[in-house]
Amino acid sequence: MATEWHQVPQHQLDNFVENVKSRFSGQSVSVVESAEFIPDTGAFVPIESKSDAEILFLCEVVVILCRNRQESYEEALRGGFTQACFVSAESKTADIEKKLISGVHGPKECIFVEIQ
Amino acid sequence: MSKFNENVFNATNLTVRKREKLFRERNLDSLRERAVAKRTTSLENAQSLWETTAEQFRANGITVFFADTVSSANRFISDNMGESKLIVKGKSLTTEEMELRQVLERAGREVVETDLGEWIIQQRNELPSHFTAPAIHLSAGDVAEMINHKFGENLPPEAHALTAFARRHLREKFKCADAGIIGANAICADPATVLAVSNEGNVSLSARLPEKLFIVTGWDRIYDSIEGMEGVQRLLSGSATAQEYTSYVDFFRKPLPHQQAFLVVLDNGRKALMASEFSEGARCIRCGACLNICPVYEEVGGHTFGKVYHGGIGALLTAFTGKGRDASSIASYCLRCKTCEPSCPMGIPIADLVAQLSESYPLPFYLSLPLKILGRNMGVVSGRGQQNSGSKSASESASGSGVCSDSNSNPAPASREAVFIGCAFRNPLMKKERKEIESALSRFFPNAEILDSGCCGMPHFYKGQLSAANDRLESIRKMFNPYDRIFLPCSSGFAYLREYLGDKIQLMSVAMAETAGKIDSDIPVFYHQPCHLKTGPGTSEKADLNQVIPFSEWENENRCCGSGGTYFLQHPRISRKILSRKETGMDGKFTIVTSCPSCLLQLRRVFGKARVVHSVSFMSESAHGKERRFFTAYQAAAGEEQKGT
Repeated sequence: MATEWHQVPQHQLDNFVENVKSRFSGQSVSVVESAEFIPDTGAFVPIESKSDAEILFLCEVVVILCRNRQESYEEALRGGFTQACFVSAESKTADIEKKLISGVHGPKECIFVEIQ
Repeated sequence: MSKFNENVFNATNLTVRKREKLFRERNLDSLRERAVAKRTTSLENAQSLWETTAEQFRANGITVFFADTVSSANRFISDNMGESKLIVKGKSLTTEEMELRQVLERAGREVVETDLGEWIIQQRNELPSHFTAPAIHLSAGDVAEMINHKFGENLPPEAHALTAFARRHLREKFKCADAGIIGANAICADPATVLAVSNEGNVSLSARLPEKLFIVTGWDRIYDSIEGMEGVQRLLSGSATAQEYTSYVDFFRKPLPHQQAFLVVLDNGRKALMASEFSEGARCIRCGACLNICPVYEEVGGHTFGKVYHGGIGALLTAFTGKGRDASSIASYCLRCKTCEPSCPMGIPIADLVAQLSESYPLPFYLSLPLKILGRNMGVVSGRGQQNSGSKSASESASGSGVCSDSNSNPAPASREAVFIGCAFRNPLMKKERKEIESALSRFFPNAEILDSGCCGMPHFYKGQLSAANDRLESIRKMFNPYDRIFLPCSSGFAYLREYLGDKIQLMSVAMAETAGKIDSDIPVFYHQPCHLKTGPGTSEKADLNQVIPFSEWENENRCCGSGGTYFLQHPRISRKILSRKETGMDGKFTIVTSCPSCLLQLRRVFGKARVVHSVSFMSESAHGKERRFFTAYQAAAGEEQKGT
């Protein structure tokens, strides 16, 4: 699965992230915090600096931590931010013969963690 | 069928199926009405919205430049590029319209397209052939051949390996780029926010790693609120790639700390489009859903049927943002079949707009000639005059008296009905059908008067002869005025006149089905849906006829046959390709029933062994058959009425 959703209790979060890193051993794994998320849909990630963008995109696996549940990203847009990205899946393309390929520029795996 | 054809055909058909599934499952159609209303309001208020938006962006540190023309936009970007040598660029139709990459390259800068499809066609020195899938016309073999030749690789024609190579190659470009250029799908006025969608992540990287960011957008991309922008984003993603949300929806309000950011807003004809009678076309969000379902596009692709902008909507956009002769050429490929219209998330009447456009950009002489020749034989083209003013009753017609009666001299029945035969049945090739229609009259429409006076004006309308079409419509309106119901055997004429004259216009076949008994057939009977019945009131024809005709299921019944009135004469090769998709998968005998005379003639070209019949003929023939008995409630009712009087 290139995109996964997990529900993890706060006290097990560190273990969960460590397990992801060992599962994708040898690959770059980023962990980012989202501002808001829509369950099973995506998460709104603020980007305030170049390094925020590099962490989110220049990796092979991204783990997105989701704490603030919403029904749509409209509320997040009403808040203040410099730049942001609503992420719903891994980087992918179907530009060659409509074959779906993950990881064309950004992460091949996108793991959303809904923290309970 | 060439590999090119198959690439485009397979890709577009796959997207259409996925899109239909998504819209059904997520009920995205429910967003349309509100999104169209929001978009329309925003476009109407574009001037004031842009003023406040620009003010906010400037306060946020983004330089905003309004460019009236392509050259002023290109000059602004070039001037502000400074010493930038390497530029990474996201996919943007507006920048294609500006030929921005070429302008910057001529100035000695390296510009790298970063969307995979765009990068592939950049390497091949081609233009995009689709709004959202620029390399849709290429196979994996084509891409492998390009990479192996240009970069000295030995990659197999396999999408995974080719994509992995592009990832490695482009990753270095992102890291080293001095400037980034992206397009914007939408700009929200309050709070001022740029929205850009992508699946690959190249937009995010192109926008955020370099020190300079140029966001290029059109004057028509403005939205008044977050709600309006969000609704349109979901429709855009759903229509373009069959996703409710693309992998990434990027938002920009201010430059990042290391950045200098510019927003370039291009007019180049957009304001004129928005102020014109074609303003509905300005709602286009460039999703490409109309292309994926277009029977012409899926055969010829975007390099033939378009330039920067493709398909019927491309003709319109090109007329305002490009060259008139390109618009004329693109418009000539449009079938006016309306197949695209139900797919348009913005509810744009594309075929009607292309028809109107054809008035300003008429067909080249060699393409308009077939219509003139055909029209002369059928009484179509004259448009003015040459109309029989008389009518005759069904019984007179059936008896072959051919005497035109003065309709006013007959005692008026309680409900006056007429049958308008239409010009298609003047075609010598339709002689048999005409006789069968006349034969059906006495049986099914005994009290109806016959209006045998030429053309409804639809052919004029769709060829852009609007003045002639209006003249015809006016005289038709007068002619139809005394009647409560007018039945047409021709589905195209029905769909056209129904739009203007309302419920009194009815399909002859459907009226016959109301009163006919079940028809048994020893061989399968398929239904061919004429394209003009895909939208509007005629969409239920099959269901109505199915009450009496047991149609067999046919996967291709809704697929266009490529006739398009006179299209098969203007573009015979394309028309034939479209026709070849209408397969039944059956070798034996079968019947195809349709209500469109033009489709009927076209289908006969490919289904030589099959029986292709007009719906009225089929029911009329069956009514005469010994084993096929009709109980004509209509006649019974008419008999009762006579007894009563």
